[in-house]
Amino acid sequence: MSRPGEGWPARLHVVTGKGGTGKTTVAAALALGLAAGGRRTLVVEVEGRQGLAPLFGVGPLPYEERRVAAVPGGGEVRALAVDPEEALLEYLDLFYKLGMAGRALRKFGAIDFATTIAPGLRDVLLTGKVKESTTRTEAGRRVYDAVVLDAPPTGRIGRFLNVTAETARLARLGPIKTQSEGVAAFLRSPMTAVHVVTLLEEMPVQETADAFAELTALGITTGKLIVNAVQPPLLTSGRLTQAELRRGLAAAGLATDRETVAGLHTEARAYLTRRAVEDGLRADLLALDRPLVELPYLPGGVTLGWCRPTRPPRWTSTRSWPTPAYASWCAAAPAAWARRPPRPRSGSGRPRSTAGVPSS
Amino acid sequence: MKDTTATNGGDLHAMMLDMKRTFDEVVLTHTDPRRAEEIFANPFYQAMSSTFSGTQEYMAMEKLGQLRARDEWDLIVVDTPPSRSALDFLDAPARLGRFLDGRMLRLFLAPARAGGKSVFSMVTASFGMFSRVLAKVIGGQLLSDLSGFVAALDSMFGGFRERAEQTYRILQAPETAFLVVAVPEPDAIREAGYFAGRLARERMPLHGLILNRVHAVAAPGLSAQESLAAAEVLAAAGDRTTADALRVHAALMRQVARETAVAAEFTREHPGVPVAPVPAQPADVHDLDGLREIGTGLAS
Repeated sequence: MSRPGEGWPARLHVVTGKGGTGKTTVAAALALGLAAGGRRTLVVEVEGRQGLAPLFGVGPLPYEERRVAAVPGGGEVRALAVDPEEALLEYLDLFYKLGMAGRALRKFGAIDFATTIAPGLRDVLLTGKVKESTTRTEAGRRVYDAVVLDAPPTGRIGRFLNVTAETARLARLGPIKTQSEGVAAFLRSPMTAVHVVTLLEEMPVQETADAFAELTALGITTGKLIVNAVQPPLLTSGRLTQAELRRGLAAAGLATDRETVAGLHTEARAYLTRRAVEDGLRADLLALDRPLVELPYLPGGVTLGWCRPTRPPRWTSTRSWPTPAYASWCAAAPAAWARRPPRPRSGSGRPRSTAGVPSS
Repeated sequence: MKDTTATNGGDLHAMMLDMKRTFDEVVLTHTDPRRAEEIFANPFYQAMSSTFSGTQEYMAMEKLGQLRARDEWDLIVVDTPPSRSALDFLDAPARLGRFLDGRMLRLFLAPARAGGKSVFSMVTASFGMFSRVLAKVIGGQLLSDLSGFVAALDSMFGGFRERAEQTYRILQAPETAFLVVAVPEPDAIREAGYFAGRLARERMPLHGLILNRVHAVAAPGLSAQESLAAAEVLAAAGDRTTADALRVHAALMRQVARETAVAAEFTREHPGVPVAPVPAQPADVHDLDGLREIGTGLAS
């Protein structure tokens, strides 16, 4: 990356993907990457999952923008977990100067109303809050250089992002219409880009294609296609036979018993089958004709989520960050971000049959 | 569960929830045709029944209640949405109840009961400030659409709640079994742990964790470390095939070790929950034969 954020012109990066593809991790890494060069970024989660906190090694995030990481060069990442109820009260306070009257809404069951009879209102509030954070200024300067949203999964992303357009249509007049139209227009402007994270697996790739089609139809700007956990290509040439493997094992001074040779052969063939499927899926992704970013598979797994903070979170200082495993992945990420996508090959359809294992 | 093959007389049907159609059906069943037309024409109903998220949970509860009431199936398998929203439907009865018992509903019903006069003419003084706020925030037109919608559905809300509560109780009954599916990766297992905790709190019967795509090693005699060391030597000597095969093996060994550790962590935190593994297939499953293979393995 010659310049921080180059190739990522949007100010709001919406990161979606099928559940389990690593979209939260990618969102966190992107916020870190875009904070390079002394920039300040915000990463936002909206589903109450508290998925960001363990990645940054901090305790549960409140409804408040907190610094979660310092980036060499003076940059920093802040994180925010948007709570719809708090967002509603804040929204009312901000636009209508309600003060205590806003609190009375809770007493009257307005919050339950919002989630029961008007469930879409929740998404209006969440997207509204994201827009507010992205466009906020202090002393004539934008508070955040970039905002990254860990968005709902691909199955719900169209509905989530389109809810304001829907609401604006529903309310023909009045402040809700104005607000909703503002958010709907913002999400359709060049300031916003929706990136989709996928794995080289059939269902996530299918959902990725569906999501791009849905978002395009809604007039929402789509950004990059991020392929996560890409394995290095092995066994790309040579003949894979048991005899060949036995010779190799003997040359390396390893056991050459039948179980070992046959076992190694079975594993290698399964690997090739898997890779043939992945190549077909990659061709499907290239056919979507979107800028493609590949992130390497991390042999140790992104295990940060698994580590619990060893001491209570202290918000006043940033814990030692990043941890080694995450650092190696994050170090790989910016390089991959900048990599140009390979050109789509013509006539490369997906192999439907899984029986044919390339043997040469 | 042995009878899952096509040859011995069992059959399997599948359906997908159509949120709008289910909602329309409920309206038709519980109101007269004239009222139903009125509801269908309401812009708020149109948006809510087709576009807004959240409605789906209620309709899922409705449909599940209907399917069970028909007593037509030996077994009903529900595929829930992924991640956190999977359990949103558990909250549906309580949320509906809070809303029905709250003052908000009466507020919306007031104008309709007052004969459709100005929106808040009949509300009591205590609503004064609140109603002004509401009118200011959401605007008069949307408020009257909303009010019309709530008034038209008024007679149905009680039924909604009753049926949702009934379905909720069935979900707690011994005839129900919850199965949580997760791949042996830290994030997925963390989510599975959340599900397990939540189901326990709701007193819903969690029958087990299905550990999906568990990898296995075919050449356990070779350690990851010696494989990688040998791969270096062989690659330098020009034998790339064996070197790569050993690298594939080493990666697999490490993956298996990691998966084992992750599964052990789940069992440590949820000792009472049985775990059933499903072996990883090299290619994705997308036909009945593939499904049978997994089903047979699971049910054995």
